[in-house]
Amino acid sequence: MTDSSSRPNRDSLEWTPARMLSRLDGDVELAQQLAAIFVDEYPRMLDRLRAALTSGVADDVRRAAHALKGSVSNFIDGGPTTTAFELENRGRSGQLEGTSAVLDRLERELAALSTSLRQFQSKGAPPGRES
Amino acid sequence: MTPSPRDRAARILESFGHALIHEGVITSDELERALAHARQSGVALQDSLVTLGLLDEQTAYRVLARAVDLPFADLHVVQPSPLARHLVPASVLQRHEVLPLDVDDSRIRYLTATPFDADAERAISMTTGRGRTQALITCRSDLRAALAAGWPHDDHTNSARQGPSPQETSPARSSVLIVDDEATTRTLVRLLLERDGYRVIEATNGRHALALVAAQSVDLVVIDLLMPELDGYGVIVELRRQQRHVATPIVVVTTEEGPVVEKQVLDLGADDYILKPFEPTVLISRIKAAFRRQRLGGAE
Repeated sequence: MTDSSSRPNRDSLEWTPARMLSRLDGDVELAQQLAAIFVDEYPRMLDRLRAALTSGVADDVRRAAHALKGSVSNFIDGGPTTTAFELENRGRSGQLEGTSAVLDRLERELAALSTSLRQFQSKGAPPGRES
Repeated sequence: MTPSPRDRAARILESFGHALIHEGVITSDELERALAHARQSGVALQDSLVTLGLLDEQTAYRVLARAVDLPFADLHVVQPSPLARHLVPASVLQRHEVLPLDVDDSRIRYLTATPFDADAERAISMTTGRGRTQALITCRSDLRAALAAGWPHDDHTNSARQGPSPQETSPARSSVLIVDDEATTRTLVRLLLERDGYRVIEATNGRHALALVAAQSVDLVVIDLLMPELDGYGVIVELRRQQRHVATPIVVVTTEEGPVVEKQVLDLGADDYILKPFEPTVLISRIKAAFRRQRLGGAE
């Protein structure tokens, strides 16, 4: 009953439509729908994380970062997923000093991902599906 | 076979009554009193509940909207799905005054001030490629009128064009409850399961999940661990306490990693533990395996 087989092997830090489509059996509509939901949802999650960091309540930071990590990990293993995980760990350990730089990085990474997802939404599936 | 308006109205009334009791809004005695009042006065149940002072109008309509499966909890708060908004061009929305709500594999549902607007239906079908559309009523007065008349779609939409309503769903179709506070994962799991023919119910936290399992039939639960209100651990414990759900398969899908977490959830009574991000096809296989194990267990 181990879960290792359920985890995708995605070693790239960059999101690509081809990789996402291969995960979803080439279901473009499903991929676009997920992209649309994430683009719509993540600013609220980021706001929640920002507010938690401002309040300085470590457990709130852990929870908000954890939720964001879960959401973004549907698209990418590294980049914003790793950064959200870093903030989650900071919340867990109560070490919130210097987190504003980490948050800045997370915002940049999410903005880049969001741009890619928006392009995917408007353009649809790439020609061919090679990764 | 499409149910008659009278049958639909009876089912809506029954769902509404169940929802009121299961959500703890009123007691069964109070429901009986309101039903008797509604029969005697010839008014709708929700109006009797308000007249008798058993609940306020806002709550009555909130519960009613949920009971009849309108895709919004409060008639004043409408949250369209991003894809639906994305699919329907702004020109169509403005010209036909419609608000796209959500889509499934072939149908788009939308809100409109003129529920049976054939032009809007045609425009949406053409621009979205969805062959079927379903208009939903927009305001309380429309809801009142609809309930009084039975249900609005019968006299407008023929059965060939309309998909099955939740009430018409085959009992053989398994119901899966997804519990996750995070919308993207919840939607991904829902779409994957719906693609495989499951009926899906969604909850955004543990407390919401327990309210839903009390009110509806649930055959399998897919649950996250870290959630507001009541977490996944608490839900697993509570479900295993209930005779009705002692053997209901529970699949934990979480980013909480490590053997300690895995052991803990399995010890509490979960049937499987899957880490996010998961491979979609593997998730579905795991869910099917959980159903299979349950069937085999029941046959022993």
